[in-house]
Amino acid sequence: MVTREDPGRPGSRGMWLRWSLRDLRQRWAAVVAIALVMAIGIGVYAGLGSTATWRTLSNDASFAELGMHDLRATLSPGTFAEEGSLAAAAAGIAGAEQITTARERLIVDSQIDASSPGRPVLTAARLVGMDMGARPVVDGLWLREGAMPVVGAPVPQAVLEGAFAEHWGLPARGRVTLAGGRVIDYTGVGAISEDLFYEGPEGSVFSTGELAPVYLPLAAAQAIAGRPGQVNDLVVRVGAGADRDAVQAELTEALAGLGVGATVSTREEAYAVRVLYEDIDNDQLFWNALAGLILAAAALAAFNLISRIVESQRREIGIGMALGVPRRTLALRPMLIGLQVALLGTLAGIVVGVLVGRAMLDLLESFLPLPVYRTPFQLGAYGRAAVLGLAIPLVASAIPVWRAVRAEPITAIRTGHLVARASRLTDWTGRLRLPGSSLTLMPLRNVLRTPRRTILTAVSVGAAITALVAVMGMLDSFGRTIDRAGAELAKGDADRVLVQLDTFRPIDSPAIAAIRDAPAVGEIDPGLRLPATALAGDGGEDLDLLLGLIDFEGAAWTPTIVDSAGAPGAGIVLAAKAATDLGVRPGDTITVRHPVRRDDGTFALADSRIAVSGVHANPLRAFAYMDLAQAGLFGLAGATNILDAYPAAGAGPADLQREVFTREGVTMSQAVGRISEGFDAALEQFTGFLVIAAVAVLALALLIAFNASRISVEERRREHATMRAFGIPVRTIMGVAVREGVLVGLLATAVGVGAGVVFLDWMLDSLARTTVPDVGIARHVAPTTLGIAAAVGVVAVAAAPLFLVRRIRRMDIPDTLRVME
Amino acid sequence: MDERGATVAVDARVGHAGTRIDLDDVTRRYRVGDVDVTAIEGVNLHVDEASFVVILGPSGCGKTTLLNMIGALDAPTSGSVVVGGVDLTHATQAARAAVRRTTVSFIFQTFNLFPGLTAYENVKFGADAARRPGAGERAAQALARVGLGERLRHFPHQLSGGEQQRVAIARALATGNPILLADEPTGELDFRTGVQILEVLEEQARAGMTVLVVTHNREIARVADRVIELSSGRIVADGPPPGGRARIADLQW
Ligand SMILES: Nc1ncnc2c1ncn2[C@@H]1O[C@H](COP(=O)(O)OP(=O)(O)O)[C@@H](O)[C@H]1O
Ligand SMILES: [Mg+2]
Repeated sequence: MVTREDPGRPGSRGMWLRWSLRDLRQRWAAVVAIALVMAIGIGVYAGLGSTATWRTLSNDASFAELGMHDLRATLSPGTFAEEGSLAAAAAGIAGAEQITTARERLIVDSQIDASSPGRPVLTAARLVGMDMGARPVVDGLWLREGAMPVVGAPVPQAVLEGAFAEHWGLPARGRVTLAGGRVIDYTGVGAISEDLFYEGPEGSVFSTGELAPVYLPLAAAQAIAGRPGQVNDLVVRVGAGADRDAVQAELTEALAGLGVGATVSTREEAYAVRVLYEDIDNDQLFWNALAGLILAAAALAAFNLISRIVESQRREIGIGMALGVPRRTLALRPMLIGLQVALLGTLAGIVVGVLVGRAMLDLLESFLPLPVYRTPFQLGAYGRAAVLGLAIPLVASAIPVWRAVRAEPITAIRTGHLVARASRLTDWTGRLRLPGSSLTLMPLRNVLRTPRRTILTAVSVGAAITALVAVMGMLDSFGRTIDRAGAELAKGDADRVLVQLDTFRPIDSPAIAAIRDAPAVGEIDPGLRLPATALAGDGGEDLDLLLGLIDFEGAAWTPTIVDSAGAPGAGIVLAAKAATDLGVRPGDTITVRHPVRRDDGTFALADSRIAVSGVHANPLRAFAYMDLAQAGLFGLAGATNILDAYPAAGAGPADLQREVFTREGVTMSQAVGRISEGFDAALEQFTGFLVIAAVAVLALALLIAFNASRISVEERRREHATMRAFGIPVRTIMGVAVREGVLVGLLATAVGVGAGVVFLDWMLDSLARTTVPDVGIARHVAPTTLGIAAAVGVVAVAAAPLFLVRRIRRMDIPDTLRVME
Repeated sequence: MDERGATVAVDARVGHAGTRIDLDDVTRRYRVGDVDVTAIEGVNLHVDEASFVVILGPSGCGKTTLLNMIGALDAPTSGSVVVGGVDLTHATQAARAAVRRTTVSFIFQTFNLFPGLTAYENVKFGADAARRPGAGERAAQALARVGLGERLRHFPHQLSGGEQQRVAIARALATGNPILLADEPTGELDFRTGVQILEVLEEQARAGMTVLVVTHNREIARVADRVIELSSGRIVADGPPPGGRARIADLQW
């Protein structure tokens, strides 16, 4: 019988809307839960997506604020010019009117002793003498904390670079000693624009805390360096629309005219500019992959949950079709559920996005301090997220709705014994004689009865676990890599101290003997450390190497050889990552471009064919080793520029460091035990961001697990009522639900861990290759990660029904048993 | 939590009081919004011995409500309900569950078999629920009694409606409980199948059980030992079927 208010007429849309609102009142918990799942997905997407733009804007603003130079002229090492002569040369060029500001500086290497009782801080330093108050600024000083130095103070005053101070836990002001015993006070911490990100003394990424930039008034720097009235550096800003290339060329020429060797580099060549911008793109690759995975998991879960809601309305849809209601109208009601999820999810997603963005920003600000942070709301990122947030639930509901309205009405209405037959596989499982009581069997039987539904649930929970395993596995792999690097350096005697010399000195020179004879020094193993480049074959990329020459036979520390061809000392020992990137294995030969000392003491570059004799255990790609006996290849036979020093009995590494600090020829000493701390700090940034992703993914996984369980319990209402009619206690029913959850959870965990490992491999293979090229990161999934995955997959899915115990206890048994749907 | 204790106590009474049902001045009201709906009013009903009792009445007269109170699924608003020697009037949830487990067994109009379990496992559930020893054997016997000894490994969806209902009866029998409660057991079935179901139910009454069948179908009432007629929640007739007991084979509807 067709009702008077013909549901097929467009005029009765209101009824469908009211019906759908009634649906919503009944299913609000499910709708909210799916919406939250979507919210996490699109929130992570939008939040992570915003940071890239924020960082670009913040970099731009920060470099602008500090007046980052457009051009920088650097005199050759060891050469200096009279103060004023560099500026005059710049003022004298043809395009001088294009230069808005030019400032002279004196930049010299030194050492710093910033030790406090019990904590030695003895590292290389770089003194930057500059005109601190001058306006407009060029490479100005950003004072993060404290006060600007007073020019001409009795004890010279300076500003210490902030990241260095932070790394060593130094206060915002204090007194330190520089090379030559010069005591200075630093009145604050901060950085100049070029030092917003800087390389350590060896050009290694893992060098946080190994170099201390110290900013002083020019005169103070000149006095400390013993270079009164001299400068060696000029930074220049040009006006808007200036022909910078022309100015660069003219400046280069003008400086050559002064009779000093100088190179003029551009702003884009500055390390800080390069890294701060490149880093953004690299990180973004990671975030995109992660956000995509999280979004995929959320989409799958939304599809699963909405499908099942729609499925439960199939009968009503069938009745509507039998009454001749147009399909379009019938589809409206279930589609409205999708729409509600879409709207709610998108709104909540924007909130989640803002929270994720805020957490990311907090981390950025602590790891990458910049004078200016620009964080405008990213309409683009949120717009894209909103489109996804609206589209995914709508598509997720459209698919099952489409299937439902296309079915023959009679199939949809059928109930009881006429319901569509299960799969042949299910029928076949009936023949399996399963042991145990019927209640023990029920979980397995239920899972087997609806394999498709079971698999869809397992896959949607599994997708969240995949993201979890991928993110946490990333943390594990990084952590393991850091540990391996630290362990390799600290193996054997962990008290080893690396003592770096100012230049190449004969091993039998008095300076070395003096170090060897110092009371706190026990043994020393002299070695060499040289920059080199491994030339790639055709098409590949050249690799920068930090080549260490060590006495493979006699030295106390030698690299762990994990793979070799012949005697390791006969050739070059590479990092596994370097060998892979170069496409070589032990026994192959590579071309190494390296410095060779000429008779006059100057260096030239030469290419040598060297056999790869082995692979060492350090994951850092740049590290390469050769036997000290081959020093002749570099014109450095009998010379050393780095010593492995071991404390004498009764002395510690700190005593040793303190003692060699003042010795002639020593520029820096470093306890290997501390190096891994530096590694940790360098990767902490990345892992910090991953932790945010891990938290989001964990919440997602729990939510999906809980939701899926809730729906299962909902679907089993009738069976639970039947059991209760037979007097089965509620806790026994809960036991059945929990055991069914365990089965689905095990499947979800297996799917999730398997796919997670595959995804992790892909991230490490394709992404880490570009984002962290200097490190060979081996995949590692820690037992804790597997434990958490299993906890989420199995425990959460299995325990979720327990939250619904009240619903089962309070159910109206006759009512549940009577109604058909 | 003395459910287990309650089970033992009930088991001890089975035998002399196991099949007894005593309802005195029972009223059951539902509150729907601000309206009180009286489903059962002032009903007195006593079943002393194993017999085949039919509760007859039109739709909405309160048959299901009455059966649910006897089956310890529902409690009266006033009056007293004693089933199998247990006073259910103010019984706790646990005590009611114990009665459902060990004294009464349900057969539903919509069968309510567990779709994931095979016929055999569904029946075995009955024995497991009542915690009877030798559940597997009981299940096989019960299935044989309803004539489905060959369909043990089939799932409910592989059985016809009549077969499903017979499995449901077997499940109730496997509990070994003395009182069988069937709410419109033939409502979903065609005539021939319905007759088969009635035959099976009647056999159980002959075998010493109390079988209470709820129906709106006057024909079915003809085969009962006793017909209780309900109208608007009150008993309007109680006694042997008018015109005497008919044979199942003579039924037609
Ligand atoms: N849970 C309930 N809530 C409100 N009213 C109910 C409920 N169950 C039954 N009723 C009402 O009680 C009366 C008797 O219902 P019921 O016992 O199911 O009748 P029958 O089984 O004879 O068809 C009906 O008017 C019905 O609407
Ligand atoms: Mg009824």
